[in-house]
Amino acid sequence: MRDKLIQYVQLLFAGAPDSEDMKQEILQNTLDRYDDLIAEGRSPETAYRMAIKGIGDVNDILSGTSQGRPCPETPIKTKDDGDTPTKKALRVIAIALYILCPIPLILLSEMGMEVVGLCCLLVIVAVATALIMMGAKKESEENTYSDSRPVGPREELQKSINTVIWVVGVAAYLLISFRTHAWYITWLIFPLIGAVQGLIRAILDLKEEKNHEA
Amino acid sequence: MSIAGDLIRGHTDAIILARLLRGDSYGYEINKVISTLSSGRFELKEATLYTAFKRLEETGCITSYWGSSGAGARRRYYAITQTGKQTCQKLLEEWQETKEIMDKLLEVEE
Repeated sequence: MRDKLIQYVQLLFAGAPDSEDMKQEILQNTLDRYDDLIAEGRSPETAYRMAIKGIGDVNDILSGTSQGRPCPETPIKTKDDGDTPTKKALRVIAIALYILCPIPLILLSEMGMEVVGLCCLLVIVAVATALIMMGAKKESEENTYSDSRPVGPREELQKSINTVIWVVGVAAYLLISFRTHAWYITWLIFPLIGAVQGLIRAILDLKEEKNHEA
Repeated sequence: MSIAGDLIRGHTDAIILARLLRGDSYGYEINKVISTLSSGRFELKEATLYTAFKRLEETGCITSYWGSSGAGARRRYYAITQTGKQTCQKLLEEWQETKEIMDKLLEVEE
């Protein structure tokens, strides 16, 4: 029963990082209690149950949310507050658009207009990505006032642009290749995508430099 | 008992400091004394005790060290510091005042 108790405590802390000291201490206290209860003449089963009951809720100490120590939770909260309602709304709409974007393609394909359908899909994806970008931009504007995180929004913006470039690029590659069957040459689109990406990064860098000068 | 339990739990720090004033000790021993002194009517959970130790250590009221290994795992001992003694004194005075006020407030006039 004592081994079972050790196993129980070890399981309690399994998967919790940096909890070795905590585990040692609580395990020792729990074993002390168990030994004491046995010495008092309790049955191993009763002692086991009482010792476990004496541990209480370790989730409190593992998450550090016990009273008097609310610190670990605060940064997470501020991060949540960083997402303004507008940004959240934009993101929700964008995700909805991402999910619904294949509908025109499916419908128009039924009518034999694959190309139009694909164009619709791309336009919807572009709109959705633009919405996310708008959210990122809004955040960057807010951040220039507070000056708390000057790098993040730019990276986010660039990420959004990269997504658009790749989606459009791959779609263009597939579209052109299937239309022209010129597979031997269409791969050139990919180096082209890379070049466009570099160009945009350069433009963003330039723009940021100007902002700093201003 | 549950209301009284909550009231006592609110003074966990003071109880621990007062016990450590009498010498270094470890989790179970302190809990055992608490249980004995309250005639088995009150006891702290390991998790609560551990949290209180950590809190007191962070505020510099107590220090800790690993003792010889007990039967199964290592035992962590706690010792009160100068700051801890001052805090204990302050908490004790606060409690005396609280007790005085509560006695007055709950006094039933004959």
